[in-house]
Amino acid sequence: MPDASEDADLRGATRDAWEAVQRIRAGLSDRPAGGGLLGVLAERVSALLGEFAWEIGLLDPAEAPPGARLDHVGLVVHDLRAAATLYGGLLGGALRSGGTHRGMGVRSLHFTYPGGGKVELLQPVAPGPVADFLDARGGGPHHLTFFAPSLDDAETAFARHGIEVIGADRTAPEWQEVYLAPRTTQGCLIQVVQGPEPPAADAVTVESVLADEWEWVDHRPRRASTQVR
Amino acid sequence: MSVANPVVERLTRADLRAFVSRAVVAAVRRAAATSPLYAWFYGRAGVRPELLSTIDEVRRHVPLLSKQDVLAFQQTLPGGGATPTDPAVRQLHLTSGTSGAGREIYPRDSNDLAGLGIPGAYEYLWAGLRPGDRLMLTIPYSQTMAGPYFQETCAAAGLVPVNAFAGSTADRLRDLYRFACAGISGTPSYVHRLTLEAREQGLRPATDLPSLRAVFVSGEPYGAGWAHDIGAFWGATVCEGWGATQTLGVAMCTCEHGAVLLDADGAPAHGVLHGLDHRCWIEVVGPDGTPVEPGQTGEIVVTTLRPGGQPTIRFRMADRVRLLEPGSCGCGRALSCYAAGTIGRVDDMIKIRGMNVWPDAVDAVLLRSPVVDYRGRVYSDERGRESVEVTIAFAAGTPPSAVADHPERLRHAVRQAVGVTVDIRVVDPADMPEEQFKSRRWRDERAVREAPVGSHA
Repeated sequence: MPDASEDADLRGATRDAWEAVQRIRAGLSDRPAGGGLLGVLAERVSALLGEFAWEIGLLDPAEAPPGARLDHVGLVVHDLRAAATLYGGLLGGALRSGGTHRGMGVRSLHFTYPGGGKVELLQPVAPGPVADFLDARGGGPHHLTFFAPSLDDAETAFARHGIEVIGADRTAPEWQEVYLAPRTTQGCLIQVVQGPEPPAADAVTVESVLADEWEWVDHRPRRASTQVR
Repeated sequence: MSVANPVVERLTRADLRAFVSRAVVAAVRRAAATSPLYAWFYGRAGVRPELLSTIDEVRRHVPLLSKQDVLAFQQTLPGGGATPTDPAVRQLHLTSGTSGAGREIYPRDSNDLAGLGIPGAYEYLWAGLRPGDRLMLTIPYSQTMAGPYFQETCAAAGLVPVNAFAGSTADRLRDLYRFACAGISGTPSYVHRLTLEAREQGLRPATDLPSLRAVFVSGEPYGAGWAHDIGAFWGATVCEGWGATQTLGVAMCTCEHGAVLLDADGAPAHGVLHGLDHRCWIEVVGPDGTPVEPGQTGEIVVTTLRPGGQPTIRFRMADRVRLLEPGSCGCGRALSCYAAGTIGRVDDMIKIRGMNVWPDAVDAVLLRSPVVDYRGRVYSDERGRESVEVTIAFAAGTPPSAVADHPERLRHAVRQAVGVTVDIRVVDPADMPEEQFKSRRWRDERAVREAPVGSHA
């Protein structure tokens, strides 16, 4: 029987193969008839590789299928407390995390829902793009955030289809993101992220966020008093 | 110990239980979100699977699904269970509907087809067969999905299938030797017939067919004594697998210990079937749907864990099995355990030559004027063939000339309705035995149930 290191090698090689097959399929999808016979063969190779991954325990059974996952909708509000009452108590959302992002000049709250879905409430606290959005439009839907398994692959596909990236932060290996220009997405600002979903912060409350006791650091909420900035 | 998959077989019971728990919750949520069948079923039942987070919550809140539920759903879509425009569908698998009870439709995508033979490969490889070995398949391809499933299982295990379903029993015996087969696959009744013919021919496979290592049976219950005799005659381990269209192939099977063992007194006893738990969650429930305790018999309920075109979630198989304590086998694997040789029906369905036959379907054909009653008997003839005799009685006073060709017409009608050829005998109504219950119209006297090979009906 293979030992743990052999298992790790097996898993690494399977991941590499998986990514290669998905690149092949993405490339073929642009060809006439989806690549015809080649497209079908690639689909079958992908399916067999998926079975292999399941049999070696590589796949998390609760993992979403390959492809981007819609994580949340970002909404700009002028009164965060009132919005929290609506999206929390009245609509049954559970507060997941929140804090102040000083670089972006916003204070935010994340709510999740028993039936699925998440919203991010953004209130500007300093001049910046979100404040400009509030001034110009009076609030409302601001962006969609997707998590993608490979930002490289996603960017390649965006470029091939003329979708323009207007902002990117790829400095942290655990969190990489790009923003897509609304003029090339038919009007919607889209954030695409590669990385794990930030963990829930049970200690966060609406009042503590409004009191600036929490701030976003490295994409996680931290108590502001413990941070030396 | 034979190894089919070193990763799965090395799992501890706790790791396996945790994996299955996560996979079950994910499968239920996925089914509710993506399958028209389960969206329909859970919508009617007011179930919100997206709120469930543990396997115990699934047990408590997700209702069991039956064949009747699936058939009712299929009335709601023009294509039955398959959305006609779904581009991901690669095959449509239909359950064997010549039973008269209706055919369930299972759309299959490329993931399903890639995984079709994998669970059954465990059975073959655990039995000691190796890639390149030849396995004779005797299950007919016509009318059921079993043939393609067996074919894919050979492919998954790397075996060379010898497709013998078209030949005679004599042809098959010749080909077992000619191709130096390492295994035979068939129903117990057919293996019985093959054995009788081999004996008649004076063959001694235990010594003159050394390549043969395993006899794989499936599809009906059998006696431990019978299985022991079969193993001794062929010089091979008798193995068993259980699965269905709903489980996308094999869901439980024996390991290298086989389907029959000797107890402390040296008497043959049924061995152990292992659940392939990482692919299919098996529950054994009582009539009220609650889990039975180890040692008790109950209905098999299945949930497929791999994503696919049509998931199966908490489906009542109407097959019953005896649940055993984990670890009952002694092979060391963490997989769940069930009693081999005993899987039968909870309803009155009878499996005849691999076909599912419900007495209701036969009733609908036979119980029409001038027939007033009938009895059915499934038995093994003198050559071990599964045979069906139906005894009918006409209403008193029916003129013989009016029913002269009736038996032949009924024979044809039964064949049309349930796919099984029967012999029809006419008796006087007074000679028909009294039966209190309708299902008692049928008797199963096939030789494999308990009798040793030498004494058949």
